Amino acid sequence: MQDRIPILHMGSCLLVTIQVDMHDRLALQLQDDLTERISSTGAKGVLIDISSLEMVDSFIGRVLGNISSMARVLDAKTVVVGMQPAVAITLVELGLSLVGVSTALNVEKGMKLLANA
Amino acid sequence: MSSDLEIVPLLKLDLRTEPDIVTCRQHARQFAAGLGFDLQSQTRISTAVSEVARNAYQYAGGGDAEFQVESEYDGLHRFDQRRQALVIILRDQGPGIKDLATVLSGNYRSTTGMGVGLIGARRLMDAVEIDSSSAGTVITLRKNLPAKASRKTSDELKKLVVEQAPKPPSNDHIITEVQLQNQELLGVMEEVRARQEELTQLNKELEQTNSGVLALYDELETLHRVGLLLASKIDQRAVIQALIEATTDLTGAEFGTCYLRGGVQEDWTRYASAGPQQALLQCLPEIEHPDFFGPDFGSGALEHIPDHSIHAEPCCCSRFAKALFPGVTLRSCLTVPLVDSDLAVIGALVFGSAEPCIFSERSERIVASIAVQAAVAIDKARLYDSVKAASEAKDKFLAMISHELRTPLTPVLNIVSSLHQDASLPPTVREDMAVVLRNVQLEARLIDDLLDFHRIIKGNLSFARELVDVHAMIHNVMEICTSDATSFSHDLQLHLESSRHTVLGDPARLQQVLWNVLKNAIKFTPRGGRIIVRTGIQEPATLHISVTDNGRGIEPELLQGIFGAFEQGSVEGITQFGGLGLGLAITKAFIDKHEGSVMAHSLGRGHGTSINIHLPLAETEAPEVARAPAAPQSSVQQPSSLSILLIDDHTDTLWSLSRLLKRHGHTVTTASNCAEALEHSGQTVFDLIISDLGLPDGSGLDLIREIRKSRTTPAIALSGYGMESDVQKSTDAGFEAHLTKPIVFQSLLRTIAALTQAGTAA
Repeated sequence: MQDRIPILHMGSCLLVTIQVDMHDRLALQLQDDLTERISSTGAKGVLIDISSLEMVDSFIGRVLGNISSMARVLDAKTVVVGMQPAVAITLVELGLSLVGVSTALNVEKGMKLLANA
Repeated sequence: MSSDLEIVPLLKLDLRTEPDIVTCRQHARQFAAGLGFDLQSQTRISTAVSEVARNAYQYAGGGDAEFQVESEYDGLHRFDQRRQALVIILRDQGPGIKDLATVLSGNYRSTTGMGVGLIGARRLMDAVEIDSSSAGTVITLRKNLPAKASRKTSDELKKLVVEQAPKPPSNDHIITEVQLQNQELLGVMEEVRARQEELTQLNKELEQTNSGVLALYDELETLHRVGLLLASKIDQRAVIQALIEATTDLTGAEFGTCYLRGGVQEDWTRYASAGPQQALLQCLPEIEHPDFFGPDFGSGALEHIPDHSIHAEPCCCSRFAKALFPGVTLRSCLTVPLVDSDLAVIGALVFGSAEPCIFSERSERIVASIAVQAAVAIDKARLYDSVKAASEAKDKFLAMISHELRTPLTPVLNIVSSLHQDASLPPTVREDMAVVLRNVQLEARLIDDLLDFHRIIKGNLSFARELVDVHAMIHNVMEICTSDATSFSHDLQLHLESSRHTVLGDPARLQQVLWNVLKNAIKFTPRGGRIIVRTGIQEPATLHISVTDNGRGIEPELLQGIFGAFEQGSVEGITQFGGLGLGLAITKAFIDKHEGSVMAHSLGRGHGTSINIHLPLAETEAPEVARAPAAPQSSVQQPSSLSILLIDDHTDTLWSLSRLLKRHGHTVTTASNCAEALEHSGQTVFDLIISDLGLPDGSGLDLIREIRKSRTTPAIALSGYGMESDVQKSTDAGFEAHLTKPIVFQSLLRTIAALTQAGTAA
């Protein structure tokens, strides 16, 4: 089992593609790694691709929210892209709204959003 | 309506690790897919399972999940229309959900997810059953198969299980989990080790600080102790001895000694030494020349030579080492100057040891601090010594001058007293004589007070212990004071109400006490005042005598001091009222000697004064005869002509007494020393011998012993000392009577009469 989600550094952006069903600790690890990388690289944007995720439960939702808040404190903007429609619906039904997390349909729109910021 | 419920178990798995949650929700998704749920429902089911499984893992420490398919046959529907549901049962053995109602109402704030767990699951599934108790929680999630999905037969379901389950449970993730946990554990242990090291380091530091603090405390304690020691001594030698003992012990020196600089030559004198090797110092001279410690010693800094054998420079220590004597090796040496407040070096402390490096920085510091205190203490001791010497000199001078002043008064008193009574003189002269007599008496009284006071200070005032009738004594004193009281037009009242009035004491002293108090009342009360003397009994067995006047009174702030010497309330009193202000001081000393108490009460200036005396009552009553000595004995039958041998070395006293006796018709032979007296006594048989006790060539006691060998002539002793033991000595030697100087001529006459009449009677 993978114990790190890879983070790519592209220009002033950090790019994360979550391709596995993350267990909780892995999600927390990602949160730590990302904040660490933002501070070390001075990245201005974080793009998290969750198109491979078949499910976002409340824990992962909270981690995404945390990443977004922490990045904001470190002067970086976070965009979550590629959420599957079923996941989105379930999230809403579950009662999660992901307040403060910017979302975009796909990577391209997400990058644009970051570039405009 | 009856219905059959068929349950086909699909899978059971443990929820022990985080990845188990992931596996569980993945299974949920796969079963949902296999059962024909659409993608949206699959996501819902797996999300709901994830939420509940996480709760079981997070809050209950793990449990298990069971997947089933529930089929209901109600006989009404066709087989492919019967109700079929995917059921996931999640169990844990945790403590149960504490506030289930709160959780379900949505008011509970989760610390893990976003507070949606159970409620979210309820929204995502068709039915959620919760059975929670203290033994654990069972949550059953149920999702009905969609209507369009085909119902599965048992066989189909089993196939589904085989499709999914055959994967043997992979241990990979468990191993990874264990590895992860191991790594985490190692990390934590590393951190714990680092913390422990930090703690040990901190502990070590703390210990060092602690021992430092303890050492400081010890130092303070020592300084405090030595300070107290120094403060408690005022004698210079005692101060120095205490000082050197304390410091030598403290420094661990083999010997320590103290030199003081003084005298005209500014020599160094060795005062005291201490330590196990102090005997070494015996070989040193007591006094060293002024430069013994070198010219630089005055700078005030201490000198410490850790090892004299490798220290070549000449210094105080080397001088000391040289002085000590060649046989003794002195290696460690510490010399501390004692500097007084004027920055003059008044002494030095020297510590030495045959071992090198004995004195630590701490010893240096402590000894330096002590030296400062010691200098003050020595300064104080010197001051005390000089003050004491001055005070002693003053006392001695006072005693001497009083005595010298008193002696010439005796003949004056005698002569004036006799002239005053001499009927042959013209009345004007006798009146003048009365004035002279009164004033000479007053002066004699003042000097007697001084002498008494001096004796009180010296502590050599002793008292007779006789039964004294205080009432009788008060009458006597009243008689003596009547003329004064009359001249002031005072109203003198007696309220002697005590049923018992005998005390054990010295009659002469007690009379003086009463006389002093009454005299003061008369003196300090304006003309026409009222003075009341009362007696009464107070428990337990105490005689209370009060003398109350309505005179000038005493300010409250001065009340305390009036029993001190030379106090008269205020300065103006001295000039206005005369006297030395010794009366009450003497009164208090006498009363104290009688184990009584005397107190003054006054409501303030102008409100009169009350002096209250308390004396312990004697157990037996005084016999009638034991009246106070000055009791008037009226109509003494004076013997006519006696042949008297009078011996006194004071020429004027001898002359005046002789003259007075002659005036009373006696024949007087005088002698001024023993030899002369013996000569007279050998030649003539006298009717009476009157002799002073202190004679230039012997004592009156020896004289009377000598005379008693051949004569039984009655003899009267005249002495400056009137204690019981003195009287006893006189009687033992052979005197029939003992009179204490100053001699009141009237009492001498009475004694003469008593002796000679007794002689005639016998």
